[in-house]
Amino acid sequence: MAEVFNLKYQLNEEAIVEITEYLDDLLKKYKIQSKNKTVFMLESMLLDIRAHYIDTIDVSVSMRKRLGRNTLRVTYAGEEFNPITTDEAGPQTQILLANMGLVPSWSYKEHINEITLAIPRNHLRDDSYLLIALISSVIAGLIGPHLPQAFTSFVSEYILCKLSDIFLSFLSVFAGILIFFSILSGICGMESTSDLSKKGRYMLSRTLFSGLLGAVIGGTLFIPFFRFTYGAADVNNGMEDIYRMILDIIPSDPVTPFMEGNMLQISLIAVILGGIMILLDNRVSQVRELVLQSNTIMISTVEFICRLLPIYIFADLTKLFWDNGLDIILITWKPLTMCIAINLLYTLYKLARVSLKYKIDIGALFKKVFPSFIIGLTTASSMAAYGTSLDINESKLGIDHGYSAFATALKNQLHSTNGILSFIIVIYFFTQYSGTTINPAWFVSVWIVVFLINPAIPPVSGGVLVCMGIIMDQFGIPASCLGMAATLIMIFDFISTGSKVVLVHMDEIEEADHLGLLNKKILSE
Amino acid sequence: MTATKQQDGNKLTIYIEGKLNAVTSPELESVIGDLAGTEELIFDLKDLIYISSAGLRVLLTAQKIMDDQGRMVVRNANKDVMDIFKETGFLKIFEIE
Repeated sequence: MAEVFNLKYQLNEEAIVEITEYLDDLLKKYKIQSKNKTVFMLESMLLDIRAHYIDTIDVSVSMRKRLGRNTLRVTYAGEEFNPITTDEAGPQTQILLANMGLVPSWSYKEHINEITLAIPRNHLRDDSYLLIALISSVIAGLIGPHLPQAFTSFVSEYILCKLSDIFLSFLSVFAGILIFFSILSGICGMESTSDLSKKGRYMLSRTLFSGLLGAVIGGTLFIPFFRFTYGAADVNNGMEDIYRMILDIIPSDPVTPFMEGNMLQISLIAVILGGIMILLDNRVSQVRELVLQSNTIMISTVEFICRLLPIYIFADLTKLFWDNGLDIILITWKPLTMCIAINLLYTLYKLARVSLKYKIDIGALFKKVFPSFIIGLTTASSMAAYGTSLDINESKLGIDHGYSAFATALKNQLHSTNGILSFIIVIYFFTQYSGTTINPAWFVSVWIVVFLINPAIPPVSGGVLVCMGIIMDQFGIPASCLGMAATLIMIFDFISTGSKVVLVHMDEIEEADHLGLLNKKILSE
Repeated sequence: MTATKQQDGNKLTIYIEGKLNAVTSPELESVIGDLAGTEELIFDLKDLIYISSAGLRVLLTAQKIMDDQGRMVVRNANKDVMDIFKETGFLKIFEIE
């Protein structure tokens, strides 16, 4: 054990300042992440010791290091006094003990009081864990084919699958409730139904229009990249399934949408109830308070669940690679490259647009949204990134809290430009691959169907598979291609969700600015 | 640290400038003085560079008094001070504008 420093003082206010400033400088030099918490806790305890002993008292403050762990030690002679119990601690010390996660300990021996405080080790940033999980899954994916199949099958079925299911189950339980309270709390912050109408119409029209425009322009530009077989279209007249799915937005009862995780229906219920609450105004002030507090609980709950993200990412991606092999990349390199390129270009375009408009360095802008981007990219779930997105919107992008809560939940569901483009690429590729005969009108039906069906996709990993089967059947793509198409769309889902999360941030910046709800000072920091 | 106060009926606004630590906190306490009759207490932290546990203790004491007789608001805190409020859990205790 090495002693880092040992300070001896007669305790008074000047000594407290000197000790804490010394410790602050030292921990800053060592790049200790919990510097502020440690310094605050030490100062608070020293203040309580000072207040307790009427006469001046000598204290010794030292720091020791053992096995990479730093420990602070405060000793003072005299009568027994424990400044960290509920009875003896000062009011600010009680709050610090309750909130900062530090656990000092006290002992009294041979008339010497001793407090020890282990300084928490630095931990990796959350997105570092996600990247580690991603890289680990790729390595496991490369190793997988060389392991005994019995082993990989067992691990895949009994461990990876279960880990993945546990996370998705937890997320599914709370996702619908979170969306509900988030939209409702966002609406509660609006002044009137006309305010709701103005903001809602603006946000929805922008979001949906960009999706439709993307489908038409992107769908047209992609055509030269594929070789189609023209003739009488082999199109299934199963449009009824798709129309039913889209028009099913009206729920038949208030419980089933939450049980089934139907986000569109949940969103509709939230918007209606929110509008009614605005009309009722002060008569429902307590319910409004309940909604806001419930929203806080739900966000904290989902954030807590998302601590399991690295495990889920490793389990899910490893299973994906083991089940399908990395060879799929060789067969589908063209659509894969197109998907990556289109998402990259569109995201860069939006980042550049905001960067130029608000005069922010594009690298700094991307760095702000990176935490939510990496979650979206590695989980294919905008819901998993939701809590982080809200935090970034408010603390780094300057978007009004109420608008962020309202718009992010809805836009995660409805924003689909890059998802639409990814779907179109998959449909085009497999139409070419299977030699399915098409006609020019076929393209228009592809654009319209993909545009309409995207909002119905649940914002969780694997949600896109729900729609894939219907679309494949609709456009006459043989069932033999379904497995490969499903794998490809799953991979695309990761890429397009990462991109979508960034695009939603950029859209919300411009929308908030248009509505006078953007703090440009925070955005430019 | 300098602290100046502005009384407007039963509303008291205190402007704090500089660093609020163990040495300067007693000075703030004496400026705050007796809060009898004050129904609204505002701390304007626009020029406050840093606040330590000692400073938080003074604000907390004022908050407890004002909880019984009115309202206390902390406003215009800079990013560093807001980070301290957030990290220490005091963000939930004070009414921040």
